[in-house]
Amino acid sequence: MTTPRTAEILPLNSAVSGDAIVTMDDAAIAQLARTDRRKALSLIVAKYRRPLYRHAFHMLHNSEEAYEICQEVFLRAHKETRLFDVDFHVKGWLYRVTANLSLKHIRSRRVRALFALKRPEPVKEVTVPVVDAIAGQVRAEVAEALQELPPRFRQLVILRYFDDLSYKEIADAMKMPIGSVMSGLSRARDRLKKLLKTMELDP
Amino acid sequence: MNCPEKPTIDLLLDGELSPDGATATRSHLETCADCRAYHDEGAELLAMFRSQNPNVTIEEARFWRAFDAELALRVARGETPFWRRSFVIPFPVAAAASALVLVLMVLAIQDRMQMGHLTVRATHLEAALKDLESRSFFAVALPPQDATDVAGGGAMAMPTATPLMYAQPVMMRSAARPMATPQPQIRFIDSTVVQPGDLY
Repeated sequence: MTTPRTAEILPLNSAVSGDAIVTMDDAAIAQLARTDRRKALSLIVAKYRRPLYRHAFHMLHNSEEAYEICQEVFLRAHKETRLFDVDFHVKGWLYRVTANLSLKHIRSRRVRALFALKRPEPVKEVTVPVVDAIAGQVRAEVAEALQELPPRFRQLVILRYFDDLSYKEIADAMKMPIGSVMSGLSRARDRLKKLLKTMELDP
Repeated sequence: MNCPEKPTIDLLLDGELSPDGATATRSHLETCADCRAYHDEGAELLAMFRSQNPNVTIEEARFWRAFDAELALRVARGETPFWRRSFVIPFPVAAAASALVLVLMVLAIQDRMQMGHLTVRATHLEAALKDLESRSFFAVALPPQDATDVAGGGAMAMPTATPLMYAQPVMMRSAARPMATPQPQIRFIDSTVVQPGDLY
């Protein structure tokens, strides 16, 4: 992917100060954590909240659920004592927790629908500002096709094409052999192509 | 897609090849129509994912401030992640589900036991009847050959007193009666005669 991995930094004294997108790398943040763990944690949150939220949102297509999962991930991060250890891969860990929680939520969604304990959860109209921005980046037919993919395939597609993780990063994050990542992505792409074709023929 | 280079094209599309590998693969594309078509299809798909990097709007900034505030609150409260109800199958449901499983198991076992019981009754009817005979003064209706027991009357068809009476108890003439018949029969009130083996 050619999209740059560093995002622009907003000036700290601007109207949106405090929401500067963090470009410090994780090693530097871990270094900072030795003296100021709270600050390091808040940097981690600021750096990853949007990507992790986006991941959850693309998996679930529901802004409230994505929000809850995102909160949950950072809550666990605060409790994770190894988070700033030297060999600890923070990014991989964060994505793994988010991916697993999202997948688990999709499955429990089906169980809850079975027991009809909560009102059924249709795809909601997005009203949250961040979701407008995220959803606006994705074409409607792609979003629809994503929801049609089996959850495991959906996860791989999101990790690679929305989260911009390399094959190796995906393999490390999800604790999968890299061969499985490659074959999984290949199959997911094929499925996606088919879905988009059928949607084209029958909108 | 017949060309064996398909996985390499995937790698190229995903930017996973080294610069040399990419160059080599691109030159392959120039010669292989199959791969070219596959590559173009893939590139088209990936183009659909490409997003512009939007600026963070003020609305979004507010949203994230609220997010941070809520997170800080939860951390301060020392909230334990696991017990968020929206992620856990509600306890009553889990309890009901396990209760159901137990009930089904019990029913299944019980069913089996009853079936076994019936089976026992059918196959051991003969022995059971013999046992009954020897222990009581009731006898199962005997086949007509045992004419010595004329007065017993049990071998004769009796008028249907009630539909519930299937085997007519008979007074034994004498306690010691030769069990001449190898196959005790059961004579029902409506005169049907049944062998033990028929019952099941």
